[in-house]
Amino acid sequence: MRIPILHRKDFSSGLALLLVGLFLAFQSIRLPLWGASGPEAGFYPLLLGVIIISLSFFLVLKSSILSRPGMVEKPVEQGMGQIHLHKVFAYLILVLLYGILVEKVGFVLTSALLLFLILKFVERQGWRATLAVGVASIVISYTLFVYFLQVPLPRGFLQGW
Amino acid sequence: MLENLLMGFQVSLSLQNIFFCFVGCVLGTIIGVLPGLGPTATIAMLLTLTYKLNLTSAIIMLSGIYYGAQYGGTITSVLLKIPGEASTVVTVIEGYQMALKGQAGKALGIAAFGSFIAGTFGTIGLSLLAPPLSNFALMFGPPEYTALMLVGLTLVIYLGSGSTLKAILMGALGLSLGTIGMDPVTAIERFTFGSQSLVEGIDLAILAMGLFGISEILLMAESEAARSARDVIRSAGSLKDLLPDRRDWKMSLQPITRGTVLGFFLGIIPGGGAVIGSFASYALEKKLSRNPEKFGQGAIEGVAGPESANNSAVSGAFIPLLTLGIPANVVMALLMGAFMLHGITPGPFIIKEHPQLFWGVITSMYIGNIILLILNVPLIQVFVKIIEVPYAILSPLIIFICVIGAYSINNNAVSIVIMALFGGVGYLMKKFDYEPAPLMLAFVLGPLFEKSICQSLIGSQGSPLIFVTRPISLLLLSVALLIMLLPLFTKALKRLPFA
Repeated sequence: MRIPILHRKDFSSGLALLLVGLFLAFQSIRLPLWGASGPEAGFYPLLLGVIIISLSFFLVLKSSILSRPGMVEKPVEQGMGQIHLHKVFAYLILVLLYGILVEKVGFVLTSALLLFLILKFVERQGWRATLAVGVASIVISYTLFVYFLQVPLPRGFLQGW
Repeated sequence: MLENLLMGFQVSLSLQNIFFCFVGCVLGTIIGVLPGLGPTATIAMLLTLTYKLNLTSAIIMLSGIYYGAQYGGTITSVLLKIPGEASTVVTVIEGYQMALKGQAGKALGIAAFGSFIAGTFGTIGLSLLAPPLSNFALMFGPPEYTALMLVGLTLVIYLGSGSTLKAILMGALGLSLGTIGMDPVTAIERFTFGSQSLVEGIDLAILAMGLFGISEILLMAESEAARSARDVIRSAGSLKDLLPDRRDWKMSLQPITRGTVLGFFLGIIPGGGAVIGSFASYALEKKLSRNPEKFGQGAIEGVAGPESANNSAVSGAFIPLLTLGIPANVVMALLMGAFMLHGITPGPFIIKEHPQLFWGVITSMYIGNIILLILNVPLIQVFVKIIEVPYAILSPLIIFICVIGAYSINNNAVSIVIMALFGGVGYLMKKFDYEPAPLMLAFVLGPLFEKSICQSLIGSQGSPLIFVTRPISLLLLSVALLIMLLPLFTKALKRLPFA
């Protein structure tokens, strides 16, 4: 039996949220729930876990068994053009790597790497644009945050210089 | 009262105080524009300045930073889809959509004027109503807070343009995210999985930057067609076309009025009042609109109302601080710190013992609103140029600003990782038709909601009847129930044969 496209999204996201709810509930049960004076750490998140489980279960049902027959399928969006999933992953991975490396390598070097990789390889900009935007951004942000706003940015292995 | 206001203006219109007000507003706007570094951190850093300046000037400057930051947050919400503050999350919903239609100037313009009008009336309200209203704030105990938060949470139903079930699910998820960190009653660590960085919980700015800002970049990266559509947007040529026209004003006047009143009274309530104000205003405008389906596509009422509510809530928030010594939020707590550094305890006697300080600060808020308007309206032309930067250059810049912003919150790189993860979550949410706004609202209200429930139940020895035996709590619970049932009631009415 074919499930209309609108329902497939709800079905899979409902399942994912059901898992989240179950995880929340199980973790909460391991905490103290109720003490002599009233609710303790696990009470409220357990309540929320139960709510999420119930609602997501209902969503899963609504998108499959309870769905009315002859439901109009959502048309595929026209004119979407190409989907560049690799760009999405590239952005995500680069930001994650930035977070992991910035304190070890330092703000200036990591930022230079981030901007260079995104501008040159993800966004396919020319050398001039890459250098201009990259250098300007780092200089302006460093001046603004470190000198003007006195927010310390990580110096990485340059610490102590 | 007139003599008091005149005395206040004499204080605030001195050259020195105008200067400090101006500095505060400019600094505040810059801070508000930079995601992550909010007014709280800036005010905390500048508190020691109060030693060098006289107290009135210092408070005037710090207050200027506070409402300047509100407006700065609006700028990034409209142009970059990054909410600067919790209260500007709602502006992202409509303001950014307006920007995508080439109406960024109108959104920023109506936000500036609406904020000015709301701030003006808020200041008047503050000077007239401070003493009686402060007693109102005193009547709120844990059960009343629980009920108020519940009213706020029911508004999630109105925040999405899609499925109500999904909005409620996102609300529940937002409440769950708010439990990460230390339990508010017993201080036990929850869901930190041994990470020190999560002990304080997830910072709102990080969640906002990830769910809105980063996810938008990922969505734009994915689709060439969406990007080209965005790059084609050009701002209007002259300032006249940039600003709201008569039609926009006609549509915005009532939302501004309603937002001002709603925001002011909710801002008086310490805790979540001001944030609820902007969400409540949005929900109200959507409910009252003749074309509610345009909400989510760039409805100017959805910017006018909430932005006004934000600004009047700032005036409202000063009431419990100046009259009772109860800070309505962290910024007010810091200002209170500034008072106490000089040996002045804000409270019921401050009006009598330090009238110049009290009225000087109140009148400077009005001047601050004028300065913000004068500063920002001409600058709208400049701000709007940001939209014209090609997205291939703008995306990396936004990412860069976000990572610095995320780092600067706690000087902790883990924040960047968390932000990236929420960026991915926000991207998936959009693909699967879930809205982030209900999650954000619930996340903000969650901790206070839990604290109030637990404190109420501890106070009543576990009996839930406490929520219905106290009159204000019962009233608020009834309002919450009404809000929840209203959509069902409207649907049922439509099905009746004579409808």
